[in-house]
Amino acid sequence: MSPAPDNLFENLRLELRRGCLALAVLAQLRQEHYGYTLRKALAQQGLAIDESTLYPLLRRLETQGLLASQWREEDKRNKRFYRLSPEGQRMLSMLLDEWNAINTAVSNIL
Amino acid sequence: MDPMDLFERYLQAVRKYLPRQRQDDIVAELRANLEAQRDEREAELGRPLTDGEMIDWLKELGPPMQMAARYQPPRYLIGPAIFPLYWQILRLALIWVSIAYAVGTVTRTFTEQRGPEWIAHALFGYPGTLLTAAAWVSLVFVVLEFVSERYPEKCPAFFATSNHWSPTSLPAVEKEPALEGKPRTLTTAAAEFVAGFAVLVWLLLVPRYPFLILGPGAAYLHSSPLEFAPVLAWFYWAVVGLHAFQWAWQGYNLLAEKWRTKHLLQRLASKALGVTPIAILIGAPGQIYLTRNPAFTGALPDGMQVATINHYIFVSCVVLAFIVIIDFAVDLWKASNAARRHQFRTVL
Repeated sequence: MSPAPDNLFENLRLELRRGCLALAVLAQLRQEHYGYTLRKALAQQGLAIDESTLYPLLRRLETQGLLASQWREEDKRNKRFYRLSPEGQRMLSMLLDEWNAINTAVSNIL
Repeated sequence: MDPMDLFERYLQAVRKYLPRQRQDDIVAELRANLEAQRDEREAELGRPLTDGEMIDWLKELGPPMQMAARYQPPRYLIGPAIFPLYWQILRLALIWVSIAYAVGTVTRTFTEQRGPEWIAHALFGYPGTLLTAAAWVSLVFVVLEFVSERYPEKCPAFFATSNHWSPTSLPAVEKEPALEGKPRTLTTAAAEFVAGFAVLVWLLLVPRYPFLILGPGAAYLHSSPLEFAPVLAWFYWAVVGLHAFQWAWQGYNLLAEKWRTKHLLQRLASKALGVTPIAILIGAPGQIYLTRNPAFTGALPDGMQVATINHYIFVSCVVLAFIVIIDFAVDLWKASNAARRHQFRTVL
């Protein structure tokens, strides 16, 4: 059975966003953030990410060596701060090139 | 109720759904993120959250189990990497189990002279056997998934595409059969109609002239130790009726100039009706097909037992019915696939 049009749109929208999220998170973490402020910073720039998507993504990117994390006290509270690792910087640069190429191609097609 | 108590209870509940070795780390990070959110809410309100507001907020966050799941990668009993192989093996296993079950049941029915109750019991046991086989195959793949996820470095790429695969090893393109079957000429259709008539006449003459079917053996029919039970008459008329129906449809096709192709529905209907004569035999009272001939006063030949003969006839009918039904189901499946492909090509 094929999904209802609304569901289909939602599925395609999520599929479209999924690839962009890793790029957005890596780019945002050129500056150090902890989970909550990262989510807030992304939302302020128009890319709201659900907690259920962001936290697993952060952990996956860290496991892949693209992020480095550190526990530190801030405002009398321990927080886990994430930032881009050297490998993450190299990957971000490559992904940005790819992003620009796709963006140009899609713009041409449209 | 203390709102902070609710918050701590929430974190404690989340902890219970996390893997033991990562509980402290994840709960600490979750606490930091949630405390930041709570501080922001309280800053906006200019006061601490009340009990009701805390309950609403925790409800927004979702049940503890759901929250814990967010901090973990997606987990599968059988993951997408090995699922296609699992599906293929499962289908093969079910086919082979079905064949083995059918062969085993038929063999035991013949060798152990089992009755209708045992056969019915065996048929009802079939779904359970399939479920057991499926459960074992699934269990093996669940273990494979677990091992390959936990110890990827120790597992060779079992399921990776083989390097030895080559496009030239693919089977040749199969010829698509026409939905309505192979086109026929008028001569073929007319010959079939004439032959059908001849067979119908032959069938109708058999009761009066048994030699048409029994040959020289017909001369010994009256002195035979056995005679046909009344159910054989019903069987005979079902065969005649079925043949007459097919012959009439052939005639209609000729008159309506539809002889070029044999209609799909006609083929399927003929096969479906083919079960009727066999069903009559299976439903015979007491499964009696042959009885002692009252005119025969002598003793039965050595080793001949009427009950044994009737039993074998009954078992043969069950096997035959099974084959006919499977054949019909396969034809129905093929027809449905062909119709879908035909519809797809029409759309294109």
